Amino acid sequence: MSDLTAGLIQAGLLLVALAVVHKPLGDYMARVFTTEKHLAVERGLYRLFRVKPESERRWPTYAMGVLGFSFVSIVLLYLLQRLQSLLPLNFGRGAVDPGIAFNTAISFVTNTNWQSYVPESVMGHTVQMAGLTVQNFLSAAVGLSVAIALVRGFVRRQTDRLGNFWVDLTRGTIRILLPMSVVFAIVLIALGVTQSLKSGVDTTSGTIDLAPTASQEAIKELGTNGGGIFNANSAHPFENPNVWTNLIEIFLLLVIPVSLTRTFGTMVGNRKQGYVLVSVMGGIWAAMLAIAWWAETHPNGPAALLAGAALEGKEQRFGLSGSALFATSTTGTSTGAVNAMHDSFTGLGGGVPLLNMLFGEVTPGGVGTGLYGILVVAIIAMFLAGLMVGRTPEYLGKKLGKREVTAAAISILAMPTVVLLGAGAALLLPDTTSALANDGSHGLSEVLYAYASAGNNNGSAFAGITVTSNWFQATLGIAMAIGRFVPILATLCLAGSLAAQKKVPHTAGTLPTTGPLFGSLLAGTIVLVAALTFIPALALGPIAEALA
Amino acid sequence: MRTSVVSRARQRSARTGECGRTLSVKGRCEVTDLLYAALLIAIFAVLALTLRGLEKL
Repeated sequence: MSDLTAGLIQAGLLLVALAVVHKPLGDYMARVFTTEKHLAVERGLYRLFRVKPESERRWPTYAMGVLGFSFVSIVLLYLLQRLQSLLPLNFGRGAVDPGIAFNTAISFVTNTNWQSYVPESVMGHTVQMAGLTVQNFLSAAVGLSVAIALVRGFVRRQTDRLGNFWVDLTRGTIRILLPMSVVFAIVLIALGVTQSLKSGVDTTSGTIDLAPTASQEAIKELGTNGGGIFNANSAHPFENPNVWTNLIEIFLLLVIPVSLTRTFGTMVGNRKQGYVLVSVMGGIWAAMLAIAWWAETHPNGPAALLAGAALEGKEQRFGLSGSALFATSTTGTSTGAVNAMHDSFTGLGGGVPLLNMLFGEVTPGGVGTGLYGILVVAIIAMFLAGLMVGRTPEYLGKKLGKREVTAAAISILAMPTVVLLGAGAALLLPDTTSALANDGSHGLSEVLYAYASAGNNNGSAFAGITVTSNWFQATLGIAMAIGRFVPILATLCLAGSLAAQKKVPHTAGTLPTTGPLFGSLLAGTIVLVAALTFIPALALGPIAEALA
Repeated sequence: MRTSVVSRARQRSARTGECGRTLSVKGRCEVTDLLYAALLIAIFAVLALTLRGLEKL
């Protein structure tokens, strides 16, 4: 079977699986966040942490919950790493270096999972399981909670209450992420992914590291986290042994962001609203996949031309198509797991994962972050449309005034600010060139990719760049925190402002938001914002390399 | 020109776990711990100010 045929079959199976699951999972998630019933285990947790589940909060209190919870999570994860030598199952691994511990703590709490260390060498099983994997669940649940709070902003009328962050966090973890992760961890084990508490097995050629892989792998993809338990991530045969696990992992990282569009449509009482969003997400995802796939099969380097394709850095188990499919999906979401080295992609092919992130990761985006990200862009799109026709913009019956548009603009501009400032400052430093594996346009792409990955909470690495200096550990940590929390705060502000309004009746002059016109406007705004912000940087990096 | 990412990373990993090997290194790590703690507090202070600013929109 040719690689093209295999790739088309995989893409087809993936789309069918997503289409089948989209409706039941989307409706289930809507019920999870709208029901008034609490599970017994949830009630126990509320009693333990003194949470009043019936008490709904204003948006600043909701936001303080997110910030406070994340701050405590970072501190605990930092301490867990620094005290690793005292923990069981460390297998001789000592305290994690402060720079790595700081960067990793922010990375996993912000759902980025950028890794400036070699997991199998640095992290023991206790830190992996009790620290990193726990944050894989909780950081994804935080994203879900913020997205649901924004949807409530559209749904509710004349109220200052957005919900209870602790209830949303608990429900997202216990009712959605945990059960799905358990099921898919078992499926992955059945298909050959390892699961062991041993440190490794001795062979004639050395020791092969082992880890509780499957239990981490399922939530790594499902929660759009992406931090591998092995350094090679999903290119490692213990994390991703065959084409079936590869397909399941791609499915897992897409399934919740895609299904959340159904949740959105269900909660706002008009499912066509969700269909438009998923169409835009899917359209851009498919276009980026086509570009990456074409670029990798039409390389411009002499070695790649001799081989007939760009095979460097790719797992032969997955081939070009499996690598392009994974790369497009992992950067269209906020996952950042890799099954191929993005640094080895062609100039244009490597530009696709970079541009995917610079779109703001809304194709379809991370768990929760994708939905609230695209809704914020939708507000900007409706504002632009309102300017064009001279009407006060509105979306889903809510007027978009100064406060709403300002909050949306802050949410959108936080990421480009940290990416461009961070990459620009790093490029000015004389030490940066020695940290790069390549010079010229590819070297610039390596730096830009690192900050784009951090600022968008993606976590995938272009690699080739050594980021263990205190400068990179600190600035990438700052980029991850600002890139995560400023959009969350602005989104919650937006949600609070929308919830306080009354619903404006639909009139003949209202721009419909369920048809292709709005879809095109939304897609155009996504591309336009990224282009206006990043074209100069992209021209010096991947575009220059592709044209060389 | 591109080197193996895995092997490069493994070389880098040799640098980790330096803290606590000698007294001087341990002392340096404690200072680094404090600096990173200060940086984390500074980041969240900025975020708290952002929240305050958004409330006043």
